[in-house]
Amino acid sequence: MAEFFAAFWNLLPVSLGHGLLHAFVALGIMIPFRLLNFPDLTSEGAFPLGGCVCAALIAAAVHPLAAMLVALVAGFGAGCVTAGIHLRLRINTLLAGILVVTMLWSVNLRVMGKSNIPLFSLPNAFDQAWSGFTASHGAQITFWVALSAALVLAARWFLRTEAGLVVRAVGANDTMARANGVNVARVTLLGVGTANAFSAFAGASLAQIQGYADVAMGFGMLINGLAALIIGEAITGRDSVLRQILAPFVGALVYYLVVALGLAAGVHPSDLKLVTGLFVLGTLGLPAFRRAMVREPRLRA
Amino acid sequence: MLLLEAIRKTFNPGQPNEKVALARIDLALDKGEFAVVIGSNGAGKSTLLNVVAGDLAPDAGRVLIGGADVTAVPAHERSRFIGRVFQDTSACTAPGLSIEENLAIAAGRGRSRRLASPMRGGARERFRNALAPLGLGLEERLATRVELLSGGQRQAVSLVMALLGEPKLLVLDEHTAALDPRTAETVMRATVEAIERTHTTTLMVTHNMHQAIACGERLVMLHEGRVLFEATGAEKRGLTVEALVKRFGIVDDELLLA
Repeated sequence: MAEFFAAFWNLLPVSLGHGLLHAFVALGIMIPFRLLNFPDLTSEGAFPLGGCVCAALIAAAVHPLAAMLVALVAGFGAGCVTAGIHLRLRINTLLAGILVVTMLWSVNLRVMGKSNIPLFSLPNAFDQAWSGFTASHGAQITFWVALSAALVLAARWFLRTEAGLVVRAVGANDTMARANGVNVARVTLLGVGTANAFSAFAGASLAQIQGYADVAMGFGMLINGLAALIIGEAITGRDSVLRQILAPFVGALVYYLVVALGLAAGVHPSDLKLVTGLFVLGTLGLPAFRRAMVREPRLRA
Repeated sequence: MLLLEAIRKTFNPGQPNEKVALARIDLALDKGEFAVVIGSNGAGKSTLLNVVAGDLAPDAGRVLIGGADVTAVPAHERSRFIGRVFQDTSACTAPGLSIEENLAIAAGRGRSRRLASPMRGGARERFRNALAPLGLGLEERLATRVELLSGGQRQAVSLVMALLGEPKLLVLDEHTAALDPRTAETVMRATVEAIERTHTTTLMVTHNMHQAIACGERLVMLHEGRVLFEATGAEKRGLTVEALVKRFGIVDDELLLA
């Protein structure tokens, strides 16, 4: 037991940092899924795209901040491509996302020229702005908490402005939005683009903090983010704009703490994706399971 | 105010399931006129409204609103001139948003949406004043989510939304057809009152013969994509269901029973 707590205690700072960073992926999943009613898988490709673009540019001696900015724009573009495929060609949003994720694999390899770029010996935006940042878990946690809080407040403000109401209307009822003069296609493009810019931001940040970008760094990212979102919504609920925005942040934090508990308890890291997948499956399948349980006695009666 | 010139629309042209929805429609509504379009299933009523609102492009002909040719203007831009209420009671409102947020979205029709609170400048007071004439007490429930309202209440809110911003044309697509008779009566009364108060040019489609005869200044009967019969003024006021049935030998029960 003491061993378990010691292991968990050791994992705690890393897990908090990871959870807060991955909250941006969960946010990038929440925006299309919940606000726009546009189930989007692009984050699985936008996340490594952000990391790879940022790493390739830093390796090419571009200023790290500029590299991050380009990574963000690339993520935005990836989201726009997915949304555009759906809007123009009327291809299902999930299929459009898978197409883009698959194509981004080649793009990422092309961007980096190889499957992995180490950044240990190169400058990064975080250490430049806050010396010793990547070595200090305390600094990372402080920064992510502050950034997340600022973002939650900004999003809450935005979603209650005229422009934000329009975004929510597109997700709630696109016929109504159109009938009220909303350019649904433009809102969808901007929304899905912005969501994937957040995922790319997380990818670019992780590449710099962990000191390398890898073409496979996005694998499983979508299911992690979805699991985090589901946990978050179970805790915060979805009754208000603020609760909906808080969900990905709370959820990602709890999710990575639960993962740390699992690892401390001896779960093999390579089994994590299976466990996470089963968890998401279980949560999504729960309503059907409940219905089946309720129906049975009625049949007997 | 509304001018339709030689509108034609065929679905699936050249295919085995080709369907001429509008064979040739010419229609002119004066400013402030309230016209009721009636016809059986497949007469082209919905197609006509969709062409007017811009959801469908006609194969031939022109749509003019307030003298401007809007035939090529997409629906979301055309909404600047047109307020719409649909038959489906959940079609015109955003369920997760409150009554005041829905009204704010409608009030922003036809201008760019700003990064500022939609409730600034006494908007809530305007919304209350717009809801009060309905007599449903909705003006006291601005923060209530629309999904918690009944179908009739939602249609009433939809009507208020459609009329916000003084549209040049109000388009009602069987907006009381999905309601129970009493609620339909209430919503219809509110509709007529609002139209008379605001003098909004209105194009209403209905299945209901009694409604078509009781409301509006003009009756337009569609049949197989053409205007079969039109009545205005004294002729319209003198119409009865029996006379129409006799004259046109209508065999569609739905028209009579609706």
